[in-house]
Amino acid sequence: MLKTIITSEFLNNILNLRFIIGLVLCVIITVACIIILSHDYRQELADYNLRVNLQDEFLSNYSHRGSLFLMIRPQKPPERFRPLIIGIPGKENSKSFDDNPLPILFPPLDFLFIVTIIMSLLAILFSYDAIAGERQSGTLRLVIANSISRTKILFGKFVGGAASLLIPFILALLVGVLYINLNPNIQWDGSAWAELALLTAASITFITLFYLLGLMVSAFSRCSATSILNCLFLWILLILVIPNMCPYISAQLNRIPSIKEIERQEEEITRACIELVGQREKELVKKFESNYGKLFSEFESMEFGGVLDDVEPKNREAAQQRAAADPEFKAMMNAFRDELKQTKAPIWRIKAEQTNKLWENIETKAAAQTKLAKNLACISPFANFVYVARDLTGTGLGSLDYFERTKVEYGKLYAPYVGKKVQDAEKNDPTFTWDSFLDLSDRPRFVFKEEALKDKLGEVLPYWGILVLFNVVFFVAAFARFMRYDVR
Amino acid sequence: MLGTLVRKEITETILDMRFWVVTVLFLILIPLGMYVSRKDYERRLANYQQEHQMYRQHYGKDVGPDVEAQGFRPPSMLSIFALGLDPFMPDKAITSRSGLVRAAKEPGINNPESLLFGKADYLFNVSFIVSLAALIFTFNRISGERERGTLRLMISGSIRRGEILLAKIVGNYIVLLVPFVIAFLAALIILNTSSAISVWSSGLWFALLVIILITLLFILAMVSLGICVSALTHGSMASIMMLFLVWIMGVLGIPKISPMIAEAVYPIESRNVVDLAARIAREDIEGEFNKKREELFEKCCTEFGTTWEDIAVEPRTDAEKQAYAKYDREVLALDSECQKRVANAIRKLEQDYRNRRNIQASLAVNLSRISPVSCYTYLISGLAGTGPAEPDKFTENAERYQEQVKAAIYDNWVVKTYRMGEPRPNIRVRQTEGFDQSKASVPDMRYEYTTIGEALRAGWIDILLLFVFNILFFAVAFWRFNKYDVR
Repeated sequence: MLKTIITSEFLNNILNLRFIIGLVLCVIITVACIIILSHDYRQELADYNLRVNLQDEFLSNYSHRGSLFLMIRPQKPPERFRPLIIGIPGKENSKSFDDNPLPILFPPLDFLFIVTIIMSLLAILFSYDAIAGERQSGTLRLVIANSISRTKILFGKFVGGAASLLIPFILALLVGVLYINLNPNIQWDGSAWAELALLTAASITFITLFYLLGLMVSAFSRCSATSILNCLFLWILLILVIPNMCPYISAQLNRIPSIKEIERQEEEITRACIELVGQREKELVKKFESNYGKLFSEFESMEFGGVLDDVEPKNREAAQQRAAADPEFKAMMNAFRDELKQTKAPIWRIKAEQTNKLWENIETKAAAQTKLAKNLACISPFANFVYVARDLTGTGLGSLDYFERTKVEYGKLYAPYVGKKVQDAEKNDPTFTWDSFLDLSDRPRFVFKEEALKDKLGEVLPYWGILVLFNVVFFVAAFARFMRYDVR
Repeated sequence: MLGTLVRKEITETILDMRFWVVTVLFLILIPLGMYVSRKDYERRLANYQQEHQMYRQHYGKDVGPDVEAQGFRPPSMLSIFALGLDPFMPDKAITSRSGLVRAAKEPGINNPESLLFGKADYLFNVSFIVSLAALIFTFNRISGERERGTLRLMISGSIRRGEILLAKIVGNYIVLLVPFVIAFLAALIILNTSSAISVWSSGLWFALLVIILITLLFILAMVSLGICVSALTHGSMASIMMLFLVWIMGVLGIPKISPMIAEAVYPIESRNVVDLAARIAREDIEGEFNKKREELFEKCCTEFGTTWEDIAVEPRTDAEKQAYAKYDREVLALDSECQKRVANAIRKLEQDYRNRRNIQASLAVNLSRISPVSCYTYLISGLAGTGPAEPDKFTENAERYQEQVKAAIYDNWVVKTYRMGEPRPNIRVRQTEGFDQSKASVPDMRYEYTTIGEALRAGWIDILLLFVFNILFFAVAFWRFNKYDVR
């Protein structure tokens, strides 16, 4: 009997106009979007290669110490899921304001958009009249009259409806994936296909969630007109309003001082330290004056021989000669230098500690704000799905962090290499200066490796869990309501 | 008779549940959106002021020869209505002695979540939520009445079909405007409570008036579109599907897909590539001129009978002094030529890149104008100073500022570069007469946003298109409705 219900719901949907519209819309948009994005991907890949080559060319012609660290910036290759999902622009890209500004005004269309906006709306349109509509047409009465439990009816409606809804989606995705597979520019390995499978599973969770939402609202309404209105209202709330508002609300709840304010504070600390150092220096000079008397005033006339500040070379030379000739003078000079170092060092250490604390403080606060925004947005299934999909495919904020980490790793490899190169060059060539040419042809190259699937999965599972939970809650609510539904 | 029909439409809509749902939605979202946008604006303004002040303290006076004056861009006040490109616009212009001006953005710790999702400003609320509400109000006005059978009764009276259609548009438009206007007024009150903004200040109220007029035109277009959808379908069910299709394509599909199509049709390389190419061009030219300088110096030395290896930083003998003096005079021409060539090469690269980017952008803009939502977005963001034309406006401002700084500072320092055998340049500077370093200060950048007149002139095509859309939707609805089978 359950099978009959499922078949009837399935056939009912498939023969309907909305199925045709859904199918056409899905296939056209998905395929068009994948073709265009694959094209973009090829361009970005070419662009990336060009960047790497230009950098190589620059380094092989102009690599001197002055420009090394500026030029050796690991370049991020385009994400391999770029034909499906457009990544978040990293820090490097957001600077380029005079690239095409339109994608910023109208965020572009990708797989995420298709699932979150088009499929979710379609899911609601498939299910909004599943119960209320059948009541209106009178068929629900007839079904109930049979010896079948309401649980089975509801379950059958869910399975049959969701199946008919997923057909256009899966079909469109299959065509798109076929295109990706046949495209010679896109080389996906096993882990990429595994990620795609997981992404599809997550998308299905998300789509059934909205189907169940429609079913639930339908069970709560008497006629389909109110049902569709409530559905659209909830959809706007869940998809558009909550995720858009959350960053602002969290910024209000958890304020962080602006960077400028921190810079100002840092400057104040530095100024105070410089003042303190000057004061200590004066005290020290006074102390030495009283201890050494004439000898020290002679040293003073040489502007302290360069111990305090940079001075003219002749004074420095004079002090050096004087120290070489007179051991007493030398002892005094060394004592002055040592004591000066001892008084200065703690002040600078405290300064460094204070400024570090300042920056650490703002970073933890910013991280807390981001986390709050992220958690707040979890009330909306949209946000959960975006986290899952982006983090799974390496196109989200997590992947930007990951890239920063690999950059640091590369720096650890690269910095000693350059240090050694410079040392060798200095040994071999005494005239080596900061802008002499340095041969770096055997440098370690930066190779970007995707984050391990296991790590990614651990990251996304909680959010996926919330999606499943939404599914369960909506089904239970629909069930509770349908049990007492007046079918007349 | 028209009056009766309009009244009937109004009462019918007000008694419907959707009116109340939409009213609640508007009353919450529009003022809330205005509130968060206002807060955001105040934060950006405070950042700008702080940065500007700090820079003043550093370079308020005593400007040396190696300063690179910076000008700061204040946030646009109307960006409260449409944030648009603002988060991606550079914050400051860094001028330079060579005549090139760079744009820079402070890497502030901003909340990265806001990148993941959209925005919540007025533009978003109108183009997404108000447009959807307009369609929801109207999608089954004709098809629904046919289903209920009331359309038949109405047609049997001596009323022309055009009148019925007009009454439906006018009635729904009026009913939709009531919650919208109330929400908008509430939003304005929220805006006015801010200390940084005064709604009645001279520039703002006029801009507000223009914004509200354009918004009214846009809402009318969406109501007509809804009636048109209704006239094209025969049942509520089909109407809903049409509504879904139209809204997705009009609001989301067309504006999003057109830049992608433009990118595919007319590809350009990324900014990074251009930057690298510029760097290489600069290194090449500078290397060439370093060689020329050395040659010149050698020439001067041999002319006065001394060899250039011997010369120390300070000339000692008369011959060396003479050689120095000659080099001094002649190297100036080389220096200025070098700077000019570097600047020209980079400017050419930039110009070329910008031209191609503009072609791509205009292609995308024109493609997306099929949808009224894009036209509306261009108009409002253009008025707010955050539209697609703003990056060019920034460049314009930055170049003007460069000229200003050049006259105030750079021209008053004469910088000469000496090269003596070693690659490290020995730079000497001299002030022009009458220039007092201790009193000179870096001038402020007076940033000029697109004025309302300019924005309207640039957006006349969008306004025209909005009118055309209104007429078109009405015409299609009229044509279909005249042949509508009311049974």
